[in-house]
Amino acid sequence: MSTFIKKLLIDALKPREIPITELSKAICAIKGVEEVNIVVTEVDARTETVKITVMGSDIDFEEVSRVMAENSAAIRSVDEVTVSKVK
Amino acid sequence: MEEAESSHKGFLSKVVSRFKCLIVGAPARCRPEDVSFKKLMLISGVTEIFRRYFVMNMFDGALAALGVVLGMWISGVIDPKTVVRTVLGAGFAMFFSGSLGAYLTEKAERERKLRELEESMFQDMRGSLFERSSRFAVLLVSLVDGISPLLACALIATPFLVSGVLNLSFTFAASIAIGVGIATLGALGVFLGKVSRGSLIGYPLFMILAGLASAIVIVLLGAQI
Repeated sequence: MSTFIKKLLIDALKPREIPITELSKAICAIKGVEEVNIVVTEVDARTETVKITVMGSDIDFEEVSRVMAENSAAIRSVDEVTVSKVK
Repeated sequence: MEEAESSHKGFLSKVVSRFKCLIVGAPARCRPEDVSFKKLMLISGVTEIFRRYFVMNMFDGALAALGVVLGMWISGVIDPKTVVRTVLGAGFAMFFSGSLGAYLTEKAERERKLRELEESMFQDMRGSLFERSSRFAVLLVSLVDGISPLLACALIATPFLVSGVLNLSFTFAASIAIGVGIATLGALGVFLGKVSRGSLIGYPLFMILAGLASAIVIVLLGAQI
């Protein structure tokens, strides 16, 4: 039996200089990710709080975290997750 | 044949990409899109600084070179090689002072910004896109800061450099060099006019007047001493 992450809702912080288009494209390039949606929820002097929805057939959370860190975004919390099981 | 050429190009682009990864300190798994110049320029916001430094330092270089040429002319120097050595010497001095000065000041500013961001985000930003773009900005700004005055000096020294080959008289070469200097100032003015999306006459006129004013001061000073 295998389990797959189908959806993640991540609350993250990123520098204002990093465009959400670049961040979303970088996350979407990860294997197993099919769709990424980013919404800016708060804007500060240096940073922006964003809600990132990642959807796919088999999302590798470690890889998503790595790509986000590489693109200067910090994960604050994972607010929602959808996992499915293949018997 | 075409295949060989495309594989050659592929190899070359890989080498260029690897070099770009190295100079900006990208992580080991560096992909070409991680070091795309367009992306790094967008994130670092270096375009504006780049334009500012380019005009400022090229203006410096052009005025200094014009001053050297005029000063030597009114001092009675008639050897073109002496002028070339002096102008290029001044150009290289400005290259080193400009690039090293800009490297250190820009690095300090960018490091401060990175530390402030790390404090805001409670995260180590080493190896991140933000750090890479900062490093890229520092290198680009220092390069532009150094090359722009050297370029102005090289342009102004060119008539003297070719005067031997083309058999030009010293006075004629000096006149062309001054013309090149004034034209460089005018071109910088046009560039500034385009940047400001304002007057294409006001900026060049101001730049040329600055050149003429410095020339008048040098000539008057030469007459007094």
